[in-house]
Amino acid sequence: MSPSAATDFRNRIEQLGDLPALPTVVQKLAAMIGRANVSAEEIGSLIEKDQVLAAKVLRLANSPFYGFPSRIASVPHAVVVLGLNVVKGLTLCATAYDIMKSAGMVPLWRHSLAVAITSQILGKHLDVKNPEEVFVAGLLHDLGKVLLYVKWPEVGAKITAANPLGERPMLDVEQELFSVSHADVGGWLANAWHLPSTLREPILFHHQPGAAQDAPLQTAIVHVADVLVKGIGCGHSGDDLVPPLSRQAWELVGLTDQTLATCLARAADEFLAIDDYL
Amino acid sequence: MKRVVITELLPGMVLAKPVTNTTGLPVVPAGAELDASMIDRLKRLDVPSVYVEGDAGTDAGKTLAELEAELEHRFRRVLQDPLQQGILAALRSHLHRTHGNAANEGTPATS
Repeated sequence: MSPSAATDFRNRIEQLGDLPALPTVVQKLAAMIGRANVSAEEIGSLIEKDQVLAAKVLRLANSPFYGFPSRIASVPHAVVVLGLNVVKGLTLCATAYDIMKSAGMVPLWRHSLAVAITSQILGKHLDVKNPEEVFVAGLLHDLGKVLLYVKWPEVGAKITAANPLGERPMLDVEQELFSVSHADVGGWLANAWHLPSTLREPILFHHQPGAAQDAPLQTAIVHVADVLVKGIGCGHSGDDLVPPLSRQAWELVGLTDQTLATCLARAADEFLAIDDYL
Repeated sequence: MKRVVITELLPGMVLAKPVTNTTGLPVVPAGAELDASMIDRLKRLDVPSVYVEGDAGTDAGKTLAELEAELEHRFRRVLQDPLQQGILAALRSHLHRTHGNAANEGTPATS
């Protein structure tokens, strides 16, 4: 793809109305969050107008992976205890899940959920301020793939045709064919949705964590979690190859042999329950 | 073995690990077949999830050797990196631990 074609591609993605099945409530939410004095009640009651979406957000918020100690009973409650960004992220997750499921991409959802769980385990190990947010970053990291394969089936078909056996990393094939990767597409989407940099950078830079400026730790966590999950082999994200590991990110996360073994055991244990959330 | 959240339990499922109460005392033994009244009891115990017999996901029915071969296959493009060798070793050890073959522990992590 030429640079101008890439720009055109990007413009198409950035038109919110062009996004796949993005519910109006999410669009309204994006606009509302831009206002300075918006309250948890306003946000919560907006999401609760969509009963199905509200139920999914609460199901994710109350899932054992999420590990919040007490039951979260309402969306406004979720906004207060989890924070606005997490609830917004969960809303997007519920939307992304619907898209993946209807497009037969359940293995990608399983992979995303596994990366979310592992990110959160690493986040707690590193004592990050908001492990719930790292969970959401992990859940959304491959959002660009959903868009590439669902919204532009002709793009997805070309990528699949160039790599039918998944012998090469999807990232390389995407860049070779379109000069654009699923990480770029996910990053544009995160921009269009006004996601904070703590979510945007892990999505945009999960294959090049050293490029993160505002959220290097969260980005490093999602990068390492992606490597570990591809190693464990939970779910499927287009190829079965463990991606290259950034030494810088690995050192930032700082796992020893002992803590690596502990985190892996904990993650693998959580994965035993993953199918309940498909 | 797989883990199932309490709300998703079905009669006929068989416990793979005993269920304990908050003080750690076992209340339902491993091997017990669940019926509706037992599921109700578990719900009242306030445990979030239990382990039941059956395989989780796509690993069903594979031998340790097959799982290990698949594991190594996934790392085929990154094995020149000593850090990745360390991760592979940790995953291999984990596989041996969870598949009850501690005698064949993988090589120690190099990182």
